Formats: sequence, structure tokens, C-alpha cells
Amino acid sequence: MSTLYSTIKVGFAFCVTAALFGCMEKPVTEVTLPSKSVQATKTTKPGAAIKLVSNSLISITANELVHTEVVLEAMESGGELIIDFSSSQGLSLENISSPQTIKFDGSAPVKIPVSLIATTNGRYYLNMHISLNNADTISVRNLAVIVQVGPLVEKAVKLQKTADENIIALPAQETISSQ
Amino acid sequence: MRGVLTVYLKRACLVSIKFVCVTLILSACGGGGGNNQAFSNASSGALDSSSLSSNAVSSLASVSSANSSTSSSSSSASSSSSADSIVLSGIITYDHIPHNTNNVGLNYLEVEPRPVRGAVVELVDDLGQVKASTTTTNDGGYSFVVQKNLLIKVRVKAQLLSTFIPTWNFKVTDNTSNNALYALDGALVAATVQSAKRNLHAVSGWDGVAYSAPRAAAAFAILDSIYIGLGRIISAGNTQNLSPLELRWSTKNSAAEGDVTKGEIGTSYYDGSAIYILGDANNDIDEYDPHVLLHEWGHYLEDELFRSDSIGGDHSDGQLLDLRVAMSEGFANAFSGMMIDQINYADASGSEQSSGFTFNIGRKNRVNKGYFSEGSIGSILYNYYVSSLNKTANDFVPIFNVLSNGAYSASEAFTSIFLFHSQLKNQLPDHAPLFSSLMQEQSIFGTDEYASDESNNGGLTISLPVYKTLSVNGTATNVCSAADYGKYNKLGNSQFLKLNISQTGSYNVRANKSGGGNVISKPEFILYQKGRAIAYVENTLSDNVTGNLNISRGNYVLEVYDLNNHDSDNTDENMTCFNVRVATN
Repeated sequence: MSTLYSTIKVGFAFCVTAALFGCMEKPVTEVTLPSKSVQATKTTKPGAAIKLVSNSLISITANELVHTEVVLEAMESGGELIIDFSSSQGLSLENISSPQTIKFDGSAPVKIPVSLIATTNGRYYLNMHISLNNADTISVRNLAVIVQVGPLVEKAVKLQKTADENIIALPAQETISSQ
Repeated sequence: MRGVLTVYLKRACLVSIKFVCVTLILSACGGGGGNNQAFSNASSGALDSSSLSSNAVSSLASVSSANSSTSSSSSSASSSSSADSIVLSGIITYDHIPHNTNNVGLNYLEVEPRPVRGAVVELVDDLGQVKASTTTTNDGGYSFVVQKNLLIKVRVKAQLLSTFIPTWNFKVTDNTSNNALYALDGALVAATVQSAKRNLHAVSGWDGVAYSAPRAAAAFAILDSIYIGLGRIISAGNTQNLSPLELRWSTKNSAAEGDVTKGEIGTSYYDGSAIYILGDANNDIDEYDPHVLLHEWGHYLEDELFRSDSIGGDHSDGQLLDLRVAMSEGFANAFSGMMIDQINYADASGSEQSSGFTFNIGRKNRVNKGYFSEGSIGSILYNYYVSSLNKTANDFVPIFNVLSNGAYSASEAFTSIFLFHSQLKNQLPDHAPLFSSLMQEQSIFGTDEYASDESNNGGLTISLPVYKTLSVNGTATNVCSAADYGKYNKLGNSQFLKLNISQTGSYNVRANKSGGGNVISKPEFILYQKGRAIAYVENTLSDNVTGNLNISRGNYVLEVYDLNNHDSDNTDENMTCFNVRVATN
């Protein structure tokens, strides 16, 4: 009798445990790959192992002088960065030397203070042409920060339509003559 | 489409038997991937595989047949003209900008006209109607027979098109203008004897200091790199149709990452459906960088004709990468060099496109040699390509044959230099000593597709063996995930376990933290069959993950990783280890 009772107890405990485990487990029926992986299935062109860690978009207002920091992470153990800064027309970079040479050891991100100002609303870019020199190679990558000044305005695109196909007609240098 | 089908099936099944529903959803999910051979024949054209090197001359029998775009070849254009018609012909060229002799930066002083080859040419009337269509020859020539005095202009589309097997349709489009197709337009002029020869040239727009005119040549420079690659693939024996592909370029395409419709593409890349190309002058433009263009087109071919299990992501020559990524990127680098027989990879950028960088694809001396280095892989493949030891130098055919062989695509192991070596040994045993020697020069010693006998751990002991073994109902296999060399796609982020399922059924797969840093981990796993992910179990609990999977009989690879070492936004990065088990349910 006690054996039977013990068996029932063990069986009950097993069932509860199994049920709990069942609740915790996630039955897999469909394949949905991790979102990070989906984003990264882009195969990019070769370039320096450096990335922008700080925000890739800064929103400011017109005539506002903004002091911010560009943070870069070099995925190398050490070397030298030579960074050329430039900006799209209408965006001014204040108090920044270009090019800048920065030594890094790979243990900490590279932080570069920048001051920006634009007088009119629009979408601008702070561009960085970065050369990464290490003991083995020299490689380059361009990075950019989007500077949105004022509200985002969408512009309509005018296209020439021919036989259900959108065409951008480029001007030709044409010479016309007899055969 | 697969998602829509799944939703539809789910809804339908709500009023049906649950079992049937699950079966249907599973069927829908399982059947949707892998087929890249869907084609849309946009319009008829004259370029086919044979015309890559032939002189295709088209004639238009009657221009009064509206919207006729059907062309027929004529060996002699003049002989087909009559009193009411004339031959209208010409040459199409574009400005080619070479790199400087040191391969750094563009040399605008050496600009030269080059033929626009294989491109679609149309005659368009004053109403915008396409009256005839053909494709340019190898010297950029085209020819039509056209009704006299018809008001007509010549339009050259930035498009390579073949409607004959093997088919292709490559277009250069603008992602900032609703993916509209670039085309070079001539003037609308009556077709007379005096206007029968019409040569069109696409200019670079460079005035010696800056781009001050429309950059018409860019689209055709891009197209010509693809034309070169296409010719090599056809010559290598490809008979498979190629899916349509857009190469999206704009002068607005910049290094900013954001809205691609505004040109914020980040960098040049292939995303599985299109190639995006930088065009931001004085920062980074890639239209005159054939290596960059063919590198990305090589990734497209991996999808189309070969196989790649790469998970993508940032990469560079000296990094220690996931073996799948190293293989794909090393191949793409080598491929770009092979297609144009240029060992020095060149990517121009910077102010006035005067800087940039270059590297020798075939370089043998490097740091971080190994199966995890794209530099090593590129070096092996390129040096194999150029070698004349028991083979013809500069012959792409052997590489094409290995990659396009069904055994390569059907392998249960991941795509890697080990798989390539294994397949090459089977197919071309005479080449195996050369290839093995090149591998050993790059400190790669694995002897089969699963990297047996590999002894180079890249300075990370957990990386060997490359594939661990997992036994059903056996003891746990302890594996570790690390971020010593970066995250997501770097060596040590993931571990790979070979799994043999001898009987179809339901299995419980779990990974519990056991060893490594004293931190909270987030283990996850993905089950692959022949490189295709068939199950993914997301982490929902700290330090362990478990899932019940219905698995058919066969061989699999289980990828196990700590999400903290994959997610670049996560700042925690520690070595964490897991006991991985598989048990029958």
C-alpha cells in the first residue's frame, strides 16, 4: 500500500514538474530568425573596422548651436585614426580641426566633441572620412551623422513615365550626322 | 508572400481542426524558401548569352506597328533598308574614370570613353512610345531600320537584359526616386539620311574640380562592371537563369544610415534583393570601383548560383570572423579581383575622390591567418585562380564548377573554406595539392568539410574543434560563447554542434549555463539543415533556453550562442558556457 502511495506521489510530482516545464518551454513551429540577424544579412563592402556608437541622427532647431559628441568604436586592438570632417551645405561645424589624428588602443570608444549650427530647416549630414591604420593594413570607412534641423519635410518626386516604367532621363552628349 | 500565406492559413484553421492548422502552417513555412528562379520577362530584348560577343543588329520591319519592341537580327543593316526606310545606327559610350596607378583615388585626368555594352537601346517617338528595341554590341554599337522622316530619339537604358536562357535582367535604378531606371536620352530628330548616325555619350559631369553637370556616366559604369562579370559567368558555363536585380545608385547615396529613399544607405551593400551603391561625391562614391561592385554582385551570385550561409554584418580583412562570413567575404573579394584580373582591390573615396584604400587580394603574409579570416580565404582563392600548377592560370571555371556543384549546395556542413576544399578534392583531385598548400600557407589545416584536424584556434581555445558533437540522449556537450573579437559575426560568438537524428520525432533541445563568467547569460539556438535555418528558439529565461522540436531523420548543425555576444547594442560581453543536450520527448 505504501509502495503504491509512493508511486502515486512520485507520479504526481513528475506530472506537476512536467506540466511546469511544459509551460516554460516554447514549442517551436515556425522559423523566425532573430531580428538582429535579419538586419545584418546585408553583406557590406569591405572597409575599416570602425562604427558609429553615438546616435546616427541628431535633431536640432535652426540657429541653435549644438554641442554634442561623436563616439566611434574601432574594432581593432590598436592603431591610429585619421578623421576628415565635412558637412553638407548649410550645416556649419564650429571649433573642430580637420583632419584629426587619434591614437586608440581598442579598450575604450573614441569620443570627439563637435559643435553644429544650421540657419535653415532641412536635413544635413556630418560626414567623417576615417582612415584606420594598424600594424598590418590601412583601411577606410566613411560614416555620417544625420542632422535634422526643424521638422522633416517630404518632397514629391517627379519622374518621366514611359510604358509603365519610371525613367530618369539623363542628358546625352549626342553627335548626329549622316552615315 | 510566405508571411501572408501563413496568416491566411492561420485564419482558415481557426475554424478547422488545430492539428490540421499546425500542419498547414508548417508546410507553408517549410516550402517557401530557397527558390530564386522566379523570373519576370520585362520586355523583349536582343541581348542573350551568345550576343555577349557578337554583333547584334536589329531591324524594324514597320515602325507603324505601334509599341513594337520585337527586334530581329540582320547581318547587313544597309541591305534591309528600302526607299521608305533608312538605317539609323551609332555608338554608345560613357566616361570611364580609372584609379590612380597606386590604386588609391580616382584619376580624372585619365578619363576615357568606353563602349556601353549589352545595354538596352530603344527608339522613342514624339509621343513617348517605344517603337523598337535592341541591345548594344561589344563595341557599343546599335542599329535599326527606321521609317524615313519619323520623329524619333535614341534612348539607352542602364539595363542588361536577356530573355533567352540563361535569362537576366540587371537595371541601374535610383532608390531616391522610386527606383526609377536611369536612361540616356538623345534628341528628338526626324530620321533622315543626314541624321542617320547618332552617337550618344554619357559624360561623367566632372569639370576638373567638381561634379558640375549630371553624372550620366555613373549608371553605365556600374552596368559595365556587371557586364564584365556576366561575361565571365557565361564563359564559365553557366546555363541557369538569373533573377532580376536592381543596382540602386544615387548621387544622394551617402554613408548616413537611415531612410534609403533619402539616400541614407550607410555603405554599399547587397541585402538579398538589391545592391545599393554609394554616390555621395567628396565622401564616398563607388560607381568607378569595379571591385566594390563585383564584390557585391558576387554575393548576389552566391544566392543565385552557389550557396552562402553567411550571416552578413560588418567585416574587415584583419578581423577574426565567423567561418561562414569569412568564406563569403573572402570569396567576394577574390571574385571581384578574378572578374577583372586585378589583384589590387581599390575603393576610392574622400575629397575629390582622391583617397581611399587598396589591398592586395592575393597577399600571403598577414596577421590573423586562418579559416576565420576573409583575407586568408581571399588569398587562397585568388592564388588558386592565378596558379598554373596542373591547371590553366586565370581560369574561373574550376571555382565556378566547385561552387555550382550540387554537392556543394547540398552539404550538411556550413559553407566555409573547408567545404570548398572538400568539394575541390572530390571534383578536381589534381588541383588538391595546390589548394591544400595554399591553405596551409594561411594556417588552415582542417581536412574535411567539418574541419577535422584543424589546429588553428585563432587565439581562442573555445573555437576548436570547429564543430562539436551532440548526441541524442547522450551526455551534455559544453560549449562557450565569447566576444573577444567583437560581436554578432566574429569568431567565438557562436558554437556549432553536429547532430545526427536517426529517427524522426519530437525532441527537446536545451542549453543551460554551466561555466564562464559570473554574469547573466541569454542563450539561444538555431537548428540548420544544409545551411538553412529550420528552427530558432529565442531566449526568454536567464541562463537557459529550451525548445521542443519536431525533427526528421538526418544530419543537422545546431548553432548555440549567448545573445549578449551577438547583439551589438548590448554592452555586456563575457565568455559564457552552456551544457547543451538533446533528448527524445
